[in-house]
Amino acid sequence: MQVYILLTIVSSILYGIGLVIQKKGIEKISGLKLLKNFSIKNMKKLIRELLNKKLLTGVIIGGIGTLFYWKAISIGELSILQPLTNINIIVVWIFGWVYLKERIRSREWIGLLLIFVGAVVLSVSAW
Amino acid sequence: MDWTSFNIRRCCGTECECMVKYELILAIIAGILFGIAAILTKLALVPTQEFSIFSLQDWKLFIFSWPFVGLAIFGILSVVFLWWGFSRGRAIITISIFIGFSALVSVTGGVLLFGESLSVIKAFGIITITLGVIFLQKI
Repeated sequence: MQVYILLTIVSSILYGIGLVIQKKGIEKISGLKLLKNFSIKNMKKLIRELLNKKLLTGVIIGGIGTLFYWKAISIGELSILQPLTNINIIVVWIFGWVYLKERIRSREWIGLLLIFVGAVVLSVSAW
Repeated sequence: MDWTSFNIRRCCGTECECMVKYELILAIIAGILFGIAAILTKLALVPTQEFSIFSLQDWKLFIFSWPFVGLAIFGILSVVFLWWGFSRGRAIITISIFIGFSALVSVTGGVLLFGESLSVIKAFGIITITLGVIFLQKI
């Protein structure tokens, strides 16, 4: 296996885990409600909320994944590597189900599977 | 129109239902922006030959290249829209669409900008991802 493919796979796993943790962190943010009632106090509150542990952890893990990806993309073809990153969909499904306890309806799985198949087809076509 | 929750709701009596799945729209926008950022990453890495994350010289070449500015802008915007999508819906749906659309844009960019080939299989992949998103919207 080429080094850049291995780097991309590791990067995808880290990126997928990072995204799911970010989702957990986002749940603690009041977001638009704070922007709607714009004031210095609310902006400070928003910044404080954005610096919560879970969101930062997710960003750092995702960031490490991105560094791996940058290394991979500098030595491989974009059309191979970018579609290959789609394996993080599986990571997100598993981690989202276990960590976030999200449940997907059977009909929604069809749409999700179509997206996954499309991503896999793009990866295979590049090889 | 409730701009606070960014939902268009159709109400009948006391029953309200969301007419537009904004988690899908926000995830699509985030995916497109991220796909453009991926193309700009490739362009920004071109001067470094083989980018090393431990090389100061490579970082200088990367950061002071023109695509890096666009990469930063599109990258940050994609995160904003993705987080916005997170606040409106489930991570599994939002991230799947985000990833699918970023792949669509980067493959299209690879074909248009770097002269990479667009085969029937690639076109099939693009159509399948699009159908998946349409299917999720129709449910």
